[in-house]
Amino acid sequence: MGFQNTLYCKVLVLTCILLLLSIPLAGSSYLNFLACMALVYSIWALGYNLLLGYTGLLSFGHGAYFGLGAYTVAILTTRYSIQSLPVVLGTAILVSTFFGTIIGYLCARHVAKYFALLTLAFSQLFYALTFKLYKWTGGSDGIGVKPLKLLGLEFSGIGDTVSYYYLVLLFFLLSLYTSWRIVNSPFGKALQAIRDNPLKAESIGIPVKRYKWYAFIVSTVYSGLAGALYAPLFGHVVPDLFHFSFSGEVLFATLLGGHRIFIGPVIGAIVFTIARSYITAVTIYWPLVLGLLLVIVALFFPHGVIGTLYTTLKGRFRRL
Amino acid sequence: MRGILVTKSLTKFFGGFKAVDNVNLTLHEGTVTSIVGPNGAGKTTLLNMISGVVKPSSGRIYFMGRDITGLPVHKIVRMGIARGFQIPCVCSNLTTLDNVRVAVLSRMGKLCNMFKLVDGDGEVYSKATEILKTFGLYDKRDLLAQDLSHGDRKLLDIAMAFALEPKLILLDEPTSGVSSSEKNRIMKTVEKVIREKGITALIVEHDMDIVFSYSDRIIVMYDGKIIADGEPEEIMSDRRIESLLLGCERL
Repeated sequence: MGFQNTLYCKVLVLTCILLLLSIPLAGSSYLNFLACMALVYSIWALGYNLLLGYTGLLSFGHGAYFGLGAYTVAILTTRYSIQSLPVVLGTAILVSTFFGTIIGYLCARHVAKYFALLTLAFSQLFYALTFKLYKWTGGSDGIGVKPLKLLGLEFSGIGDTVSYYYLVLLFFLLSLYTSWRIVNSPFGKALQAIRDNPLKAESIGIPVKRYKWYAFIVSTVYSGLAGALYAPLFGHVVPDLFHFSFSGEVLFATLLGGHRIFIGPVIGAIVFTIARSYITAVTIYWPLVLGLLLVIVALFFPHGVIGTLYTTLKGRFRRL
Repeated sequence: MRGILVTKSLTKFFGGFKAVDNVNLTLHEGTVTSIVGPNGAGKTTLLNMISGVVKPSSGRIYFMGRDITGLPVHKIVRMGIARGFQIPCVCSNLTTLDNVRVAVLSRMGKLCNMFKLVDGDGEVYSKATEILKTFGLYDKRDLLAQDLSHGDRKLLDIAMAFALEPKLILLDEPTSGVSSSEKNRIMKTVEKVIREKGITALIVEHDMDIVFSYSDRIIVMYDGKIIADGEPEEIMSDRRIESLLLGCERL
């Protein structure tokens, strides 16, 4: 049954997990921070790809749900001094999913470019609101984030990066596992049928609009979680999270890795984070480099880094 | 014999063009009916209205006594009307097996499950493989639908419709674009399943040999209207229709 059940695959997955577990052994808090960032983006991109790669819906507004998760954490910890990890993360996911449910319902009725534009419009709405509601959100200054607390331990990217890294890694592995289950579930297959052929999907009894809506909701759960983990990592959140250019980052990371491959978004997120970290260190023109990279990927690697590798090795790695 | 499908004064305008004009049609349970007629006669539009893809401008459609006019496609499918397409309509990036499996899952109402693995469901797998074997696609189950031949994609499209275990099946030119040897392979399989399960069928077809050998009843459409309706022998002996059909055979 192809690659995913072979011993080869199991060894590869195990090696990757061991590698991820051993990152803090290097003892560099900058590396830990960078790894956290890459994994947070990975969670975001995994959820995002349920829409883009598996349902065929292009959203330009997933920064909104990331931002909602991040701002919920910031407001709860700073304004209300609620720092309990399960409470804060739970609320953050609930808030972004709540808005994802409403906005998803409105967007999923529309197709292709109208869908994309609507998602963009809603995220810009939140962008404007963060400025207007400055008493809560701190306006353009943003708002600070206090560490999360669990069992007497403090979790934040400012303090002990090792414990925070393991927290993020735990949620990353959880996200990886759940999204893998989803894409291989009946629901996941239905989404892929919709992506490939909406008319046929409808003709075999799939309520296409409703399923697109469900997919949207599920993807916002991941966005909310990613945003919630992002806030304590930086210790500060700003309205830029709601700007559509930030939503563009998850799209870019996903395309960079390859949206047609399950693991593509994760690879994309990791490459994206590393590239940004190194390029911003040498030049202030990161957006220019980002633009060029995007052009190169779009022109020469339409299936992304992993996607291109995959097509080259297709015979052996079918169904990765 | 009672009417499983009844249409009353069914009419469809596309702008000022009357594609289907006041069609009153009753299909009897377990029969195979073919619709013939030249291009633009309104055959596909009629199928589109019955399957819910196109909303009628006026008139009603009743299926097993229930008014289904204007219902969304997926609801009509769930009630028991499946549809095969003229241009093979399959999910290209899914394997042949998964294409059929999605249809089987849909039929069994298991689609909305997010946490079970598709591969772990033995019941769905055995139903899907049974259908794949019936349609001779079992050996190609792990191929992506986009890598199948045109004829096989056509078969897969039809197999997915049958996987829904419909009471009424609408087939839009099931043999168009396939070689004459494959035509008979497709039609023999289709007829076998239809007769075995007592499915009612409404087939749009251009190939007269196929129409006359597989139908219980033939309906001739021209300019959106039904101009003749009867058993194959009656239709064959009608001079007026002969010239019309010869005209369309050349197409």
